[in-house]
Parts: sequence; C-alpha cells; structure tokens
Amino acid sequence: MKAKKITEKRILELLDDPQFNLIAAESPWAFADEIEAVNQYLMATTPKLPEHLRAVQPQQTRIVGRRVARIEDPDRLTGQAIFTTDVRLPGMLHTAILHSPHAHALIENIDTSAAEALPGVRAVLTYKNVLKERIGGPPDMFILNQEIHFAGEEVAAVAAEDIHTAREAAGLIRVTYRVLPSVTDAEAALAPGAPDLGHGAEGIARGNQLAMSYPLTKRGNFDTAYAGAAVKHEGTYRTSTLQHATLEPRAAVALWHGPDQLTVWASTQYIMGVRAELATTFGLPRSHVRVICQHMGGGFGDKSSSVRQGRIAAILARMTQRPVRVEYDRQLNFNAASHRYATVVKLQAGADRGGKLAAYRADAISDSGAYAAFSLADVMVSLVRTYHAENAHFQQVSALTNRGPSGFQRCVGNPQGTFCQDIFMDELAEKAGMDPLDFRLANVETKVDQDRKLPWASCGIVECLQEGAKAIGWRQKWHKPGAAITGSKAHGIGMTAHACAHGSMAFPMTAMMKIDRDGSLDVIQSTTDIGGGQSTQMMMIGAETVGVRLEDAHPSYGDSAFTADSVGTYGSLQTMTGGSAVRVAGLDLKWRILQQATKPLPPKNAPLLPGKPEDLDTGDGFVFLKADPSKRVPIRDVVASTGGPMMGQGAHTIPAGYGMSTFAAGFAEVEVDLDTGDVRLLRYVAANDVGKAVNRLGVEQQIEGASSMGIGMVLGEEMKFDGPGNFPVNWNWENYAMPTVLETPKWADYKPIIVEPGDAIGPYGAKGVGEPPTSPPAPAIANAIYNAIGVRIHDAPITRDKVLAGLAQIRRG
Amino acid sequence: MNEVQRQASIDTQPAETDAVSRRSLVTGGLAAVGAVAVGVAALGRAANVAAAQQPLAKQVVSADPTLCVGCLACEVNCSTWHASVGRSAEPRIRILATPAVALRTEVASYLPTRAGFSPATCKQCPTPWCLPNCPTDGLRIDPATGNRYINEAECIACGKCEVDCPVEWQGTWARNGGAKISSKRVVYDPALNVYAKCDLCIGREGGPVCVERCPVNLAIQSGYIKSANLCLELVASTEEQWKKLV
Amino acid sequence: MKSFEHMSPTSVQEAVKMLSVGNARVIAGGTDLLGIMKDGLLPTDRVVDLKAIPGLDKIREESGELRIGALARIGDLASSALVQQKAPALAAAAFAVASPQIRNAGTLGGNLAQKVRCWYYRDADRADCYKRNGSYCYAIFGQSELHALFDGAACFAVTPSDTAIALSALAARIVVAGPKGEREVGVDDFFIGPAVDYMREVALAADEIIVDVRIPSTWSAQPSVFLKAAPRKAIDFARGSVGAAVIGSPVIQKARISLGAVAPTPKRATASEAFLEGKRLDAATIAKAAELATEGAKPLANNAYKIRLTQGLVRQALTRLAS
Repeated sequence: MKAKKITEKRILELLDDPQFNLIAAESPWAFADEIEAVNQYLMATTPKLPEHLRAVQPQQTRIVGRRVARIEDPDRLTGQAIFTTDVRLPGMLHTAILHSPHAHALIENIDTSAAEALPGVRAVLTYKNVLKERIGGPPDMFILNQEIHFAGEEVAAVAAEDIHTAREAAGLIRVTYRVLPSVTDAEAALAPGAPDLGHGAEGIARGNQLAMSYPLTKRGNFDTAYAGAAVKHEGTYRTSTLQHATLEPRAAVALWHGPDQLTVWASTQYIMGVRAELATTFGLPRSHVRVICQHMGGGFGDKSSSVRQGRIAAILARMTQRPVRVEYDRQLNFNAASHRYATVVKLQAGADRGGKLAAYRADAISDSGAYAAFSLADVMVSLVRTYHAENAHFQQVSALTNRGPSGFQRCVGNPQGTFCQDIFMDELAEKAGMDPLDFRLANVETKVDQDRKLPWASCGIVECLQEGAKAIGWRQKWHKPGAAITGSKAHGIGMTAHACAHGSMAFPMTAMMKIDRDGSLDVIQSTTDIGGGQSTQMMMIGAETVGVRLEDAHPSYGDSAFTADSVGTYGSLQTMTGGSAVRVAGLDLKWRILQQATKPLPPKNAPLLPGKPEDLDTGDGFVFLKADPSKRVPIRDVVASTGGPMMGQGAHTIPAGYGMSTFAAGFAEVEVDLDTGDVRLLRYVAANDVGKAVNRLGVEQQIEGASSMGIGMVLGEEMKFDGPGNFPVNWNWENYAMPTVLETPKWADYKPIIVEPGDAIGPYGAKGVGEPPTSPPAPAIANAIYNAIGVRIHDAPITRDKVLAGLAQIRRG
Repeated sequence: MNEVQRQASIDTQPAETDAVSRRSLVTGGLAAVGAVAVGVAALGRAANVAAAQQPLAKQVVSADPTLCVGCLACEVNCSTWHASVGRSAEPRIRILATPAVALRTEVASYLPTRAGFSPATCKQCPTPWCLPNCPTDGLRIDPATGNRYINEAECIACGKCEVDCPVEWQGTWARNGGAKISSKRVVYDPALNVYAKCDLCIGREGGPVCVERCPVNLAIQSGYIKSANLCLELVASTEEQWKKLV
Repeated sequence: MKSFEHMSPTSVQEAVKMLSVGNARVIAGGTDLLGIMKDGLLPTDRVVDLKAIPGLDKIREESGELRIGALARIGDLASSALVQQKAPALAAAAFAVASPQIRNAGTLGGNLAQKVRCWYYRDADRADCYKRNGSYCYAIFGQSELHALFDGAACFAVTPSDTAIALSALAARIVVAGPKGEREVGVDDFFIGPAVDYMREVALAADEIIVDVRIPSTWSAQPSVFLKAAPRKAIDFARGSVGAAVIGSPVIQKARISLGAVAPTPKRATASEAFLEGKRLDAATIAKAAELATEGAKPLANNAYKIRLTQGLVRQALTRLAS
C-alpha cells in the first residue's frame, strides 16, 4: 500500500477533529498513513523525559496486577450514582421524540400547530426549524432529516413541562410522508434493480454501495495457490443486525448559563468529543462548554459522540431558556441508536495435506444501514490477521439499506468476522482430518502483521489456546460430531481462535498528576469511565508510577472542566492510550519528586535523601535509595518541602515500528435437546491475552461481560424486520433475546484465563480487554453445536428453528 | 337481531319497489304474457320463464385459488360486517380445502406450505334459480346491478332456495378442520333463523368487504407480490364466467 | 398517558357495575394492562381495581375439586403444596410464567385473560391490526415466528397464557361473574378464536370478570405435566408448550393433551388423545401420539419449526407421564 502524503495543515486539522479520533480509532487501517503522520508530528513536538525513566518497566509491580474494587461501585450498588437520566434540575423540561413509521420516506408536510397549542408545550423542533447541521461522518445525516432513511428515525422533538404532555403533543404532530421504496437486505440493496435509497448525491455511494471499503488486499497469488491445494473448502456465512441494548438509553440534559456557556450531562463515551461538537454547533470556545458524565449506564460503542440527542437537548434548551432533558424511550433506542452491522462473508481456502493453510480468500459485505457508517470494513480485521496465509485475497464492500444506522458495537466487526472465519476453519480442519485445536495451533499467526509487515508488540495466542484447552478439558472431551448422544440430549464441544485490533490501538492522549502535601495523589486523567472501571485502572497506573499507596490515590473523571483531554473510551484503547498518558504524567511527577528529594533545603541546606535523583526510586508512599531501601522518606514530606502541591503532566504517543494486536481463544461446551432444538451452554472458557492485567478484577469483569454479549450474538440476538414494510418488529426487551443470567455460564466455576505476555508498547505491558472477548463465544458455540448434532449452521443467531431444520435434514438424509 | 339492527338492515337495501322479487316477476311476467288463469303451477312456470329474462349480475366475486393462502380473512370480515348491519353472521364466502390446488410461485415463495385453498361463494347465477320459489319477498334482484340477494328481514327460512340452488360447496370447508354444515352456497343460520348468501355486501360503501380486505390482494396492490390478477376480484357475470367460477 | 378514573370496588357486584361504562378495564396485578395503556393500544378511561375485593384469592379444596380464586397470585400457585399435589401441571405452568417479579404481582385471572403478544398488535404504529379494530394482519406476509399453525382466521396471534394450557389439560371450568350473576364455562370454550371474535381472546363480556377456576376431581387426582419451550429460561412467552394429563395406568383410559403457542386458543390434540385411549405409553405409542398432535398444521413463513418443537414437547411430556 502506497503511503499518502499528509501535510502539516492536515495534521493539525486531524488533531482537532473529534470525528477523526473516533473514526480512526475504529478503522485504523483506513487511516494508517494519517495516524502515522500525526504520531510522527507529536513525537517531534513533545518534550522528552530522561531516557532512563522512559525506559523503566518495573518487573514487579506493587499495585498494577491487583484485584481492586472499582471506585464507582459504592455509588452504583447503593443507587446513589447519578446517571444522566437521574439528573433533575429546577425548571427542567422533558422531551418526547416522534419517530417515522416508514422505512424510507420524504416528509412532504409537517404540521406542529396542534402540538404547539397544547398547554405545557414549550418548543417543537422539526427539520424545518432545527439547525441544518450534519451529525458526524455521514454527509446526509442531519440533526433532523427531511428524507427519512429507516423506520423509527427521529422526526420531531417536543419539549414540555412534563413527559406525558410532551408525548401527547408528539402524537398531535401531523406528518405527511411520501413513502419511498425501501430494502433491508444488504445483498438485495446491491443487486441490479434495487430501489435507490437516495445517498448518491453526496458522493458517498454509487447506487447503494458505499464508496469507502477495506482496501483490496492481496498477498502472493491466491488463485494459483488455491488451485494447487490438496484440501480445498469454501462457504458463505451470515450474521445479523444487533443492538447494544444499553440499560440506560441515549440521553442528555442541557443547561445554558447566559448566551455563551453551556453545561451538558450526556450519557457518552467521549466527553471531550461531545464538548468539541457542541462548541462547533454553537460557535463557542471549547472551554465554555462543560460536559459531565460520571456514571454511564452502558455504551458498548453506541454513545461515542453527541449524535442527535445532545444537540437536540442543547437547541431546545437555548430556544426555551430552560434546562431540557432528552431520554430516548426504549423503542426509539432500539431503532434509532446504532447497531452491530449484519454481514455476509464468503470464504475460500486451500491447505496442504498436513492441514497447513496455503491460500485464503475472503469477500465480505457489510450492511451500513440507513447512513454511511465508518466501521464497516472492521469485519476484515480478524480475517486478515488471525491465520497465517502467504497467498491471500481480501475484499469488502458495504451496502446502504433501510435498517437502523450501523455503528460500533463491542468489538465492532470482529465478532462477525470471527464467527464466519472460525466456523470455516473448523470445517477446513475437518476436511484435513485434524483436531480443531491442532489446526489452530498449526495455523495461527504469531509474529507479524502480515500486510504492514510489522512485528507484533506482543502475541499471546498460543498460550490462550493451550491454557483454554486445558481448562475445559479439550483433549479428554472432544469427540466426533454427533457421537455423544444420550436419549434426546447431544453433547458437543467447540473452540475458536481470535485476533483483532481492539485493545491494542493507541492514540495521542494527555494526563496530569497533582500530589497534595499529605501525599495524596489526584490522577487527572481524561478517559471517560463507561462502566468498565477505566478510572480505577488509571488511578492504579498513576499510583503505581508515582509510587504512592493505592489508598492515597484518586482519579478525576467524568467532567470536562476538571479532566485532561483525550479521545473517547472506545476501541478498548484507554488501557493502552489513557494508561500510557497517565504513566508518562506519572513519570514526570515522579522525576520532580526525585529531584526535590535530593535538593538541598533550608535551614541546613541538606537534602532529604543523599545522591542524585537517578539513585532513588519510589514505592508504597516512600522515596528510597535504590542501594539501601531502608534509607527512605515519605513522599508527603518531599511534597511538603516544596511548600505546596506538585504537578506532573504528560502526553502519550505511539512508538513507531510495531504492529499491535490483541488475541483470544474461546472454548464452549453445549448440550442440544434433539426434541426441542434447545441449546444449553454448559461451560464457556475464555482465554484472553491482555499484555498485563492492570486491575485483575476489572479484567475478569470485562471478559465475562464481553463474553455474554458474544453468547447473545449466537444464541438469540437479532433485529427482525417486516418483509413488506421493512420496519423493525422486535424493538424491546421482550422480543430481542439477550441472554439472562440463566443463559450465561457460572463464571465462578470457570474463571476467565488471563494470559500476560507483556507488550512492547502498553503501560506496564498492558493491553485493552473490553472488547476482544466478545468475538470468540459465537463461533465456539456454533462449532460446539456442530460437534453435538453433526449439522453445520452458518447463520447467526443459531436459534431453535435453525437447529430443528438442521436436525430434520439429517434425519431424512 | 334487535329492532334497530333490523331497521338498519332494511335501510341499507334498495327500496322495495325497485327490487325484483318473485311477486314482481310474476306480476310483470303475467302482464307480459297476458295470461288470465292464475294457478300455483302457472305462477311458478311463469315466474321461471320471467326469471330467465332477468338482467345478469354486473359483479360476482371471482377467486383465483392459486393465490389463496387460506388465511380466512374473507370469511371473518364477511361475518363481522354483515353482523354489524344486523344481518346473519354466517360467512357467505367460504374457503374450501382443496389439496390438489398448487400455489403460484409468487405467493409460494413466502408461504410454501399454504397451498390447497379455494375461496367459494354464491355464483350470482345468470338464471337466478333460487329466486322463483321464494314464497316471500326475501330473494331479490337489484335492477341496477343485477345483484341477487336475500332481504333477510323478509326471509322465513323455508329452505326452498337451498333446494333450488344448483351450486354445492365441492369439498370441505378449511375452517376448523373441515366441518361442513351446508352443502349449497345459500346457508341456513340457526341463530337468526334465516338463510344467508353472498349479497355483494349490498349497501356497503366500498363494495364487498372480502375483496377489499384480502391480504393477498393488498400485497399484490402494494407491489409486494407480482401478479397480473388479484386473489379475489369482482367480474361481470356471464354464462362463460359462471362455468369458470369456483 | 391520558387521565383515567381509578375505582376500587369492594365486591364483585360493585366491580361488575363499574365495568358497564365504555372503555373500562379490569386491573389486578396490572402486568399486562399497564403496558397496554402506556403503549396506547386500547383506549382506557376507567380502571377497576379488583384487589380490594376480599376472598377471591383462595387456593382450596372444595367439593372434591381444586378451586383457585381469580386473584390468587401466580407465584402462590407455583409454590402451593396443594396445587403441586393436585394439579402438578398447573404448578409447573405457574412457575414457568415470566419472572419472579411478575409472578409476585400477576394473578391467575389476569394470566388467563391477558391480550396476545403478537409484535404487530403491540406496535402502536401498526394501527391497522385486526385486534385493534383494524382491517389487516401483518403476520400473514410478515414476521410470523410467533404465530399460529392452526385455526388462524384473519388474525394469527397465539394464545399467550401458560396456565391456560395446563388448565385445558385438566378440564378446568372458569367461573365468570356478570350483571346476571355467575356462570360456569369449560376452559376450552372460554377461549374463543378470531373466527368468533377477533377483538377478544376470551368469552368475557366487557362487564364480566373471572372469579374462580375449578379443576374437577376426575382430573385433579391424576398425573399431569406441563412443559414449555421459549427462547430463554425466564421472561419469555412460549414458542411451544404442552399440558398433558392421563387417567389410567398402565393402560390409558383417557388422555387430555393441550398445545400452547400454536393456535389462537389452547389447542387440544384430539387425534393424539383418541389414539392413546386403550393403549400403553411406550416409545412407539408416544412417537405416534406426537406425530398426530401436529396433523393438519398449516405454517406461515417463519413458524414451521413449531411443528417439530410441538412433537418434541409432546414426546417429552408423555415420556414423563410414563415414568
């Protein structure tokens, strides 16, 4: 791939654009040259720390690696936590949002007079009177659209004294729609004769095909290698549209202070991004916009910017001169929030007689939904990096449809890609006569990014596979498909190998440290805590680096007025990115402490400790001589000796020369009821390469939570659309089958396996883990179902009807 | 039915003086023939002759069984609408279970297992056999449209129309596993003690409710299913057409 | 939510009188009604709360019958030793309902009289649905995995109540109170299909309430089972269910098998029942009975899986009864 020339002007634009951060974080291959250029620029402009401190990677950590309860838990567990949806301000107005019942329509007329006349209504917004501003990436998605692109799309917003009045008023708005043809299937949208969904004008699409796609990637010569392969296989696999189903829906509360200061409580993963967006919307300096999110009830990728709700709240608040609350009702949230995109992936591979992969081809289609999404090529990531293939051909296109907007959902395209790939690899292994585990061990890539030709900064995939296999008892339990049936119950075991970029991406970030005269440390960090324990993690890294005790440290979080600046909390990148920034800031502060400790002080002109700063170290709240740790003084004494608090600061950048990746394996044991098609997950073992666990408890929680989402993807989650009308039918918890605690494994019985090979880049060798565990469960369970009943199902979710249909086939044949 | 419903029923039908009934047939027919002797048999024969000279029905419900999925919406809507205007709730259109009938591909692609249904109803016979022996002004013909219908308020449920009706239900009804109560297209209703048959929803704005609400019709009209014809359609009655009707 | 009147009658007669105005609805646990009101599915001007009426929640034995008041909570049915002993299928069905919170609040009467779960019916945007006094059924050409294999007529929504299936297998009678006093109706006649009236699920006039449910001694002394298949182990409505009871062992004198989620009402598998009379339960007769249970099924686009599912559940239910 030829590198693009990026000008300095462009670099500065990119550094300033919150959308760039978000899109580049989720699709780094598409912006590899931009990221590289930005990084080089920052490396050249950021002041350097002394080499010996920069190079320090302590072998033994005192705090990093412990199991630490999250600092927000007391509030959350007692109900005291103030989520955005809990915020109540005097005089606050409530908002109801009217949605479109049609999948594709033009609003020909919208009459809000009856709504406005209802007593208690203070303002009504439609596309006609709202600021015509684009939302993020898609050029034809505005705050409110005149052309509607999905059923359930926001059409109008009513602010009223109470929510019941607002809803009643929304029901009084008369909309005349010109209903246009629609389509909710990606392949149908790309087929000749498909209805035009109206996105061509802005140059983002040719017909319904998005202009942007994963760059066509070739290695060696696929056609020749495939033709000559001893074992060949091909197949087509499908995944469906999913929803984050966050417990707290999209929400925002906006409050103006005079004409040019704005506070917004936003349920968001990206406080600084919301701040930048709203500052741009209203033409304000960023420092005049304050965004608060201390507790968020679930994001999983849906709340990465202010999108429509933040802007609507702020606009209504400005119109009415009152605080305004917007909360998406559950139906609106299911339909109008973003979605994990559906995919169709066609795979072909050739291997030698010994089962070694020689040629690999993937052709993928992603469903962008109603607007151009920027994460769609992500389905390719695990396809291009997990398995070693010297001859390869990778191609991907995206289709616009009238499903709800696609976006980023926990690990984005990787669960889809891995579902398709690892069922395929299981099938190829079978054709080659190999045990699935042996096939993976023989073929997973362990050394390099095969396309950028950079060595991995760390790779723990082999250990994940081996440890996971041991924990579930793979060698003892694996059997031929359909060979373990007792009565009407069939036992099966399956597995998956996975590699992706989530958790291993790093971005420029800043952090500050402030240590008070009592030795207590404020970690002024900038990650938005989205419930994954990010701020606790940062506190641990900060305390570890500076050398204070954990109980003396505390993070700032959740308020743009009091934090540093950063990219959002997505892509599992905060460990590596925010964590690195915190570490750099901590080293800066530590260096100042060490210097202060050896500085001659009045009245005797004697330092607290002898020697040079390089002779000292910190830990457990003390500064001590490396040569004789018993010679030590409390850090607080050093701080107090300056007369006031001390500060450190830092910005993090990525060292060049590495490829970055996280790795995982999943092992599943199932029982299928041959009478009813019920699939029961007996056991699931997750093994994840996290570089180094910062908060062991937090890592376990993330693995369990992400695995549950992966389990949901295969055992029942799916947005369903009415055929003739193309509108969603299961937009609530009743009909969208997320697993409950009864469907997920007893984690106490099978603790997640944490593999720690370290990492050349991450702070203390740590990588992120919020997302990668989402990918292995679905294919592992799919492969286990095959192992149980001897029928392959290539379609997620693998619901009862597919199992029964499969059983019917083999009974007949 | 209560008095209000009965009145409503009467009000939705054309004025008595316009409709052609057996009496008016006889009167008109005799005048035409010029006969003086009036015996019962002569009455009947004269009525028969006159009956053969009645106008054809401008509309009759015609079904294409290769499009029918047996959803019974026609039966249910027929029953509900007639009951709402005080007439018998017996469905006048019935879906027959006809396993040999295949489903056209355009519909089978959505509902492959729902073949084997045929909608059937009164064929609005060109010669209205049910009419001449009706002892009251029950059975009538609307001179404007040729609609052969029963004025249920006048019906005394003697059953002669059922005997005279030449068209049977060929097979069992699909509803409720195939029970069939009546063998002819005009059906006795024990709840109201009247006979009921397709009256083309006379008095209803929008015409026959079965045609208006057939889901296959709606799918074809919206373009979701491609078909040149509908499942239930209104066609003009002719001898030729009569032979083709289910 | 628009304003509505809330009435608290203290007797059945009072409640019946209060229901005689338009758009008046009964509330007990409210686990269905509140959702219907909030989603604006049915106009409601008056809510008549039965919870202040004493004596309607008793689970007891009377005249040799197991009798349960309509206001008995589902959770109490599930945990009642008397119900578990005399009507195990009913206890199992009660335990299979929804979730503990809903079982704590919901009542037997409410469970029986609840409205269907069809996702088109429950979508306020689809105003055309027959059950909301419209003129269309979206499921026929739409997403039909929830819908009926049998007896669909204009409307294809299935009966949602688990307890109804068990009670159908137990030949229960429903006692209804109205302006003219009380009447009893057999459970299989209590549930009406769309061919009778697509706006209603049960044979209750607007001013009638269920007061009691009675299981005859013939069936309450017999073994009975209830099995349910749903996407998840809690919360969900059945995608298939079976209630089964038999008299006679080892040779069956009489069997009652009722199928859930396959028809607008509980569906008696009469062909299976007839086949089993005079036979023993073994692998062959069980398999045949299961096959007969779904004879005549006419699936829509997405619900053919219910055929195999129902056969599987019948097999499992009869196998349990055999042991």
